[in-house]
Amino acid sequence: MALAVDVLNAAPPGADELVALVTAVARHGDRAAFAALFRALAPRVKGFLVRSGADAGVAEDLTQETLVLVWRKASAFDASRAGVSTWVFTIARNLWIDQCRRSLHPAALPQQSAWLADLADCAPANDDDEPLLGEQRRQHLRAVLASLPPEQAEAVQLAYFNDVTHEHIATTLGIPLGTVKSRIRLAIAALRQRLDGIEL
Amino acid sequence: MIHHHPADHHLLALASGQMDSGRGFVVSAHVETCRVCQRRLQEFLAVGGEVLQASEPVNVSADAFAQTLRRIDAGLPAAAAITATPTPVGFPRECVTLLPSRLLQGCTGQPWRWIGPGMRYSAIEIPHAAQSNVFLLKIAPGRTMPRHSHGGCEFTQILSGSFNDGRARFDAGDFDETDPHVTHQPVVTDEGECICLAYLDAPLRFESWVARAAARWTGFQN
Ligand SMILES: [Zn+2]
Repeated sequence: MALAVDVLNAAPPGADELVALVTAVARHGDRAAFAALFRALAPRVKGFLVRSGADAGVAEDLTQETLVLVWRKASAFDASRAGVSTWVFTIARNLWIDQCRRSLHPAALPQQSAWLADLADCAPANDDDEPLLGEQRRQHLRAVLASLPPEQAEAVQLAYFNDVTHEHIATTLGIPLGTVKSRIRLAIAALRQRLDGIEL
Repeated sequence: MIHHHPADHHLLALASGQMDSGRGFVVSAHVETCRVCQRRLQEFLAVGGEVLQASEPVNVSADAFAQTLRRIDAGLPAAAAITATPTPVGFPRECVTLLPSRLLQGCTGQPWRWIGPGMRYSAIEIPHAAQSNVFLLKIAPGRTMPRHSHGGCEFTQILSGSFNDGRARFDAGDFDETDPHVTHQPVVTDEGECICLAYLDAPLRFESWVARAAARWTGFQN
């Protein structure tokens, strides 16, 4: 089955559309919906894995694995608790951690990946049924991220990648690694300040 | 009421998969019991989702979709599926109930070992970690720990009881982090014994030679 994966021309589906696609996969095993999800997600997942340090072959393999798990776990996804991108992020992240573990990659690795995935799927952590991160709070979070000055938004993104990436940035910009790391910490602090400034 | 939480950059490191097993174990033990940190962690996972969305797309191979469908149809278990891990063994009985069971899966403990008057410890082996640097500490009520500084960083999650180290009071559920700049002397309150889960990436530096000697043969110090 041929599928034109032309990521540059495809308008990315919005958050609600992604939820509708996952729901269609969960309820009806809808392959057309899955194809749309694949188009929207696979190139991003691969880009994310490459940036995490995966070589092209591993990134390709783990991207496919991620989408296999999207198909298999679709019915466990609960849109009231997490966005599709958050859910997919935890799946890809866990596969990458397991990959590193298998290859004894120097990036050291938590064994808590399984329960973090649960947190995003997301079984309520407590008996009360209130989601940890409701839709309102998620919208707020996206607005806060969008409001960060570009350098800080960039630094927050950098926080999601390892030391190898940080060293590369430091070399490229001609600044010490410590400076990169302190910029990241400051950006995280700015994010927290803005997030908690307005309690919803 | 929990008063002391892990710093945001630690929660982010946990969310993004960059925290090593030992630290991750102690931070996770905190998060499992702390609603505030569960929510913060969830926020950092959501930010991770946004980072993923914002990633520069990289084209997948021409037949990637077909291959993915074949994997689905073949029903092959995902290669990286987390395999079932055995139940924890060797832990002191009171600690099994103090720690979340899903965290202990596959881990190996050891019986309490005497390291000084009123002080016992039990090292924890974590799967996939050659050296976890994680251990449990049990200190008797009213006992004063030898005054020490830190060669590296120390994470502590208080599982039961409480102590005061001159900087603050720490109760069950609290998390503490110290670094080489901190010299402290935890004193356990009289209310009961204190059990802590701790991670230590470099030996403690004890100020007294007796504590140094004791530490040397228990592995607390090189
Ligand atoms: Zn907390």
